[in-house]
Amino acid sequence: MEDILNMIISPLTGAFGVILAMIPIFVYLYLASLGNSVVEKSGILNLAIDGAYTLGVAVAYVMLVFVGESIRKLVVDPPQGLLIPTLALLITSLLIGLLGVLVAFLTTKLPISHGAIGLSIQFVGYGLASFLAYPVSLKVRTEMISLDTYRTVPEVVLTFLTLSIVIGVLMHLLIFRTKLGAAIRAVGENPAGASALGINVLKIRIVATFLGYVLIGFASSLSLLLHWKNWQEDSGMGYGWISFAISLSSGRHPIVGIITSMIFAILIRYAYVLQDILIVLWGISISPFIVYALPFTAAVFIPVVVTAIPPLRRRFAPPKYLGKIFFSEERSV
Amino acid sequence: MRLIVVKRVKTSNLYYIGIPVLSILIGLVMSLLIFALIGVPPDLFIRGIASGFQSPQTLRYFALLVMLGVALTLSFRASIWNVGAEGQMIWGMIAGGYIALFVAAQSMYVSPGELANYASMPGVEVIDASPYAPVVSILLMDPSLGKLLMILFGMLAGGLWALIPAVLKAYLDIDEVATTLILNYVAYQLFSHIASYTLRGLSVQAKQFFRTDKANSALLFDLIRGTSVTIQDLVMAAVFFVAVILMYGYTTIGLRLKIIGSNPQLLRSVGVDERRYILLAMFLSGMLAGAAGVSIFASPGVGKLEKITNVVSPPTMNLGYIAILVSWLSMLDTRLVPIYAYIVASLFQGSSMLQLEINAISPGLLTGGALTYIPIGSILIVYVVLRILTDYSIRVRIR
Amino acid sequence: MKTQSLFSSKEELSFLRPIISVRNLWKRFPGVEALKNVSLDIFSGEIHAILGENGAGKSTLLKILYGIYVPDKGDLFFEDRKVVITSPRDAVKNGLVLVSQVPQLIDSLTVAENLSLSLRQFGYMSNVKKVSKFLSEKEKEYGVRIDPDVEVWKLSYTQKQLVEILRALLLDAKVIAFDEATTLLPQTEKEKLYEFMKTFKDKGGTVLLVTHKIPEAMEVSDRVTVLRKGEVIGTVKTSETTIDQIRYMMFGERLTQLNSYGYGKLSSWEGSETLTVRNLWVKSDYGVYAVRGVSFSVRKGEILGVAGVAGNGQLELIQALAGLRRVERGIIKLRINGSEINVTNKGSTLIRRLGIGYIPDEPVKKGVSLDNTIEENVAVHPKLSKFLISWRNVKSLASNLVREFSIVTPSTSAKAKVLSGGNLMKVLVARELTVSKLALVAYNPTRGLDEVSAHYVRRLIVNKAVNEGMCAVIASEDLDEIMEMSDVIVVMNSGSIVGVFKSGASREEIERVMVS
Repeated sequence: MEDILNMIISPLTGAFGVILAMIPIFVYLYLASLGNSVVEKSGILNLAIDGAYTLGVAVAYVMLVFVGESIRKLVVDPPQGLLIPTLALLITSLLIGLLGVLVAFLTTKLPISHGAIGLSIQFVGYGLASFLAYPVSLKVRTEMISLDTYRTVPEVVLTFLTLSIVIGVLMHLLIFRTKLGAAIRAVGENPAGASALGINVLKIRIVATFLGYVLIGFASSLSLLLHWKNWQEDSGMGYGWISFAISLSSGRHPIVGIITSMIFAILIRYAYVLQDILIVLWGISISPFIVYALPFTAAVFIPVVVTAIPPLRRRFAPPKYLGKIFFSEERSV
Repeated sequence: MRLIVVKRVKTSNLYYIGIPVLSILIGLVMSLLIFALIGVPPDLFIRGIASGFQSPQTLRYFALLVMLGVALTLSFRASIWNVGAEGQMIWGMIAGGYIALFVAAQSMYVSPGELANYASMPGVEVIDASPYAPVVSILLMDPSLGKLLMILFGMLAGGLWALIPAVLKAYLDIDEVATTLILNYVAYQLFSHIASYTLRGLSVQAKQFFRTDKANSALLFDLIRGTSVTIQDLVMAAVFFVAVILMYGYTTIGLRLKIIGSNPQLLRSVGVDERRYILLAMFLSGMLAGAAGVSIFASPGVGKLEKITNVVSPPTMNLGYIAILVSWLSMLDTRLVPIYAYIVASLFQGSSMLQLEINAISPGLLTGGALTYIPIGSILIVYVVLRILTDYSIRVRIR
Repeated sequence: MKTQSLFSSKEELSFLRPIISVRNLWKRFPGVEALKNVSLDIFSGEIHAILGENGAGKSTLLKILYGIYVPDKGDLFFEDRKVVITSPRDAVKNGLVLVSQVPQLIDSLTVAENLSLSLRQFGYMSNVKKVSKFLSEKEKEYGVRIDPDVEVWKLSYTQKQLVEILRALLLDAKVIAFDEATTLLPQTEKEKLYEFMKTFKDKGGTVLLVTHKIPEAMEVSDRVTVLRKGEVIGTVKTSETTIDQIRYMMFGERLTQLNSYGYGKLSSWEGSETLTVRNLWVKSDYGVYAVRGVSFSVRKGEILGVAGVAGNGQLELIQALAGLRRVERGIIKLRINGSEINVTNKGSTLIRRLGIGYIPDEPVKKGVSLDNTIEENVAVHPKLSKFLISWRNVKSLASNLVREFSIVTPSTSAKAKVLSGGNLMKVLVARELTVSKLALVAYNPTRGLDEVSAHYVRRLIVNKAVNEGMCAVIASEDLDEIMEMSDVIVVMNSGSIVGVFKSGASREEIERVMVS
C-alpha cells in the first residue's frame, strides 16, 4: 500500500497538486466539448472540429507573440501577467467563431454533405495552423522571445475552472431554458418544422455555431496558454477529436459533460500512474495506450447504450437531423 | 436579385471531367497564392509540385492510393462514408505483422556462440546480433505462402475492423462518419499497445523502446530497383482495381452495392435486406484498406511495428485520409481512380520535395504540415463547392 | 374543445374583400406541370374550400402561399398588396397560418417551446417559463386545456392539431389554412373542428380549407374552388351547387364513362384462397393504428381492389402485405401448392422469394433507381438475376419488357432518369409482373400513366390473373381503376373495411361509403 501512496504523492506534492495538474486539461477539454455540443445541437455534424482546434492553438500562439510585441512597443513598462494572454485568448476565440459561421453557412445553404465540408475544413485548418505558426515559432526561438502565457498557479487555474463551470451552467440554461435554446434544438431536430414554425434556420445555426466555435477557440487557446505553453507542429491535433468524443459520450449535455470531461482529463493526465496502481492492486496490466483509447472507444459505444435504453434515448439521443442535408425542393442562396 | 439552387434533371458529362480538373487547378493556385504571401516564389512552387509527377518515389504512393482509392470508392458509392481507412490499414499492418513475426517465421534467442552457425543456415536470418542475447528469425514456411497469408489475414483484419461502424450504422442508425473517424484513434492506440507489449520483440531489450522484432526479410515484399515501390504493391493495386470493376460489371453484389448508393429503398422494395449490403460494402472496403496496411508493413524500409509517438505521423502516413481526395476527384467512379491516384500521389510527393527546396533557400519558412495540408485542403474545399454543379444548377432570379 | 369561448372580441372585417389573390400562377416540377395559370380570390370572412384529387395541385398551391415553394411565374396579393413570400415567416407576417395534416411541431420540445418559436413578442433570450405562463393564461381565455410544459411527442394527434390551432390564434391569423387537417381525425373531433371554423368566420376570420372530401367541403364552406390537373376548373358558391356538379368538376369527363368497365373476366381458376389476411392491425408512421382489424382472402386468379380516400390505411395495409411494415396483430397466410405458409412478420425477402410482386407507393422514389440503367433496374430483382449477371439475358428480358409494355426509351441501357414518369412506372410494373408468380400487391399501379397506357397496364395485370392464376391486391386512389380491374372491391375508411362490393356495383354507392 505504501507503494501506491508514494506513487500518488510523488509525481506532485500532495493531493492538491494532483488535482491542480489535471484542471487545465479538464478546462480545455470541457469547453471544447461544450462548444461541440452546442454546434451539434443545431444539427450540424461538426467534423471540422479538429481542424478548428489545431488552428485555434496556432492562432493563439501567433496572437500571443504579436500582441506581446505590440504592447512592448507601445508601452514602456509592459504589463506582466494576465493582459497579454487574455487578449490573445479573446482574439483567437473570436476568429475561430467566425470560422464557425462559415461552417454553418456552407452546411445549411448548400446541398453538400456535412462530412465533406467538415473534413475539407479540417485539412485546411491543419495546413493553415502550421503555415501561420511555424515561422513565428522559428522567430521565437532565434530571437529568444519570452512567451507571456498564463502562470500555472492555483489562483489562475482555479479562476479558469470556475469560469468553465459557470460557462457550462450558462450554456445549459441557454439551451434548455430560453427560446434561443429551444430554437437551436428545433433546427437540429427538424429544420423544416422549425422553419414552418417561423424560425430562420440559417440564422439560428449561425448563432449556435458561432457560440460553439468561440468556445472551441477559447478552449484551444487555453490548452496552449495554460498547459502546453509552447507550440510545435502538431500542437492540438487530435484534441479536437477527443473533445468530439467527450461531447458524444456525454450525450451533448452540458452538465453531464462536466463529469465525462473530468474522467477523461484524469485518464489523460494519469494514464501512466493508473497503470501502475492497477498492477499493484490487482495485478492487472493495462497499458497507457489502452487508457488513451478509452475516451474514443466510449464515444463510439456510449451512443449504442443510449440508443438501446429508451429513457436515455429520449434525453441523450443525437438530434434527429444531425448531419442531414437540409435542402428540400429548391432554395435561394 | 437572388440566387436559386435547383436540382438538375440531367447531369452534365462536362462537369464530370471539368470539376475534378478545375478543383485541382483552382486549389493549387490558391495554395500558390497563400505560399507566395510569405515569400515562396511561385516558380519554385510550380517546379516543386511538377517534380512530384516525375519522381520514382511517387510510384509507391500511387500503388497505395489506388488500393485505398478503390477501397473508399466501394463504400462511398454505396453512400457509406468510410473515413476509417486509417484504422483499417493499421489492422492490416497488425495482422500482416503477426503472421510475418509469429506464423510464417519465428524469432528466437540463440546463444552467442552458435550465432554464426545459425546465420549460415537457409531460411534463418539474424535479427539482432547483440553479443549477449542474439536473436534470429527462422522461416517456418515457404516465404511466398507466408506473404500470401500476410495479405489474406491483413485483409480480413481490416474488413472486420470496418464491420464495427458498419453494424452500428446498419442496425442502430449511428452515423458512420463520426464512428469510422474516431475508431482510427482507437486503432492507433491499440497498435501502439500491441507493438509495445503483445507482440513486443525479443530483440527489444531497453525499456524505453516499444516495438516488435524486425520481420524476416524473406517475407518482405520485393522492391523494384530504383524506386520505393514493390512488385506486390503494384500487383495488388492492379488486381483489386480489376476485380472491383468486374464485380461492379458482372455480379449482383456489385449491382446492389451500386444501387444502395443511389436508392436503398429500391433494394427494400424488391425484398433485399439493404442492411447486409451496408455490412458488405464496409467489409470489402476495409479489406482493401487492410491490404494497403500489409503493403506498408511489408515494405523493405519498414518490416516492423513500432509505437506511434505522434498521432499526426502514424505509419499509415495519413494516406487513409488522402485517399478520400482520390475517391472524390474520381467522382466515385472506380475506373478513374488510377488517374487521380497518380495525380494525388504526385502532389503528395511533390510537396515533400518542395519542402526540401524551400528549406534550402529559406530554412524554416514552411513545414511539411503546411505544404501537404494547404494544397489538399484547398482542392477539397473547391471540389466540395463545385461538386453541387453536377446535380444542381444555380440560377439567378431577378425580381 | 370548447369552441364557443375560443375568441375574444375582434372587430368585424368588411365582408367580401379579397384577402388573398392569386394571379396567373405557374409551377413546374421535373416531369410535371403542377400548376397551370392558376388564378383565385379568397375573400375576407369566408370559408373557402379548395377541392381536388390527389395530384390536382392543391397542396402545391398551398405550399406556394405558405412560402415553402417559390412559383415559377405569377403574383400573389395579400389585402391588395403585391407580396413575395419566400418562407413561412413571410406568410405569417401577412396573416396566413397553416394547420396541416401532419402537425408541424418539434416532437422533442415542449408545447411552450414550440409555440415560443412562433411568438415574436418573446425575445430569443426570454425564459420559456414566461411563455408557458402566457400560454396558460391564453388557454384559459380560449378554453383549451393542454399542459404547456409537456413534450409534444406525448400528445395525441388531436391534441397536436389543437396546438396548431392555438398557434394560429396566438399569431392573430387573418386566414387559417387547413391542409387535409381533418383526414385523420375521428368524426366527433371533425365536427368540433367544423364548429370552430364557423366560429372563426363569425369573428371575421377567413378559412382556407384544402380537402379532397366533397361532403366536408359541402358541409362547412361558403365557396368551393375545384382544381384538376393543375388548373382551376371553377369556383362556385356552395349554396348554389350540388355534390354531383362538384364531382363532375373534380373528375371531369371520366365520370361519364364509368360504371360498366368490367372485363367480363372468364376466370376458370377454382380452388382455395392464395392469400388470406385475418384481423390485421398495423400502425402508421405516426404510431397510431392505421389498419384496424382487416380480414379478407383472395383466391387464385382473383383481383381484390382496395378503394378508399387516400390516408385511410390502404397504404399501410399494402406495405404490411409486402412485408415492409410490422404487423402488430393478426395473420397473413399464403397457400402455395396446397400447403399453407404463415408469412406474418417474416420479412420481405421471404415474401418476395415466394413469388409476390410489389408496386410500392411513391413508385418512382421506392421502386426504381434513377441513376441506374433500365437493365440494372431489372437485374436488381433477386428473382431475375443470379450471382453472376448474364447481361445478355437481362438485356433480352429488358428488351422484351420494353416491347411488351411499349416503354419509350432510347435503349435498355439508358439511365432511368431520362425516362418520363409514365415510362418509369411501366418499367416498374413490367419488372414486378414478371416476378409475380403467386400474387401482385400494388398501390396505385398506374399512377402517372396516360389513359391509354393505364388501360393497357391494367389489361396486362388482368390477363396475368386470368391466364396464369396470379391473384392481386390492388389499392388505388383512383376508383375507376379499381372498378375496371377488380373481381371484388373492399372499401377502407379509417382503417377498417366498411364495405364489400362485387364487380359491377354502382359507383355512387362505393363513393358514398368511401367519403362517409
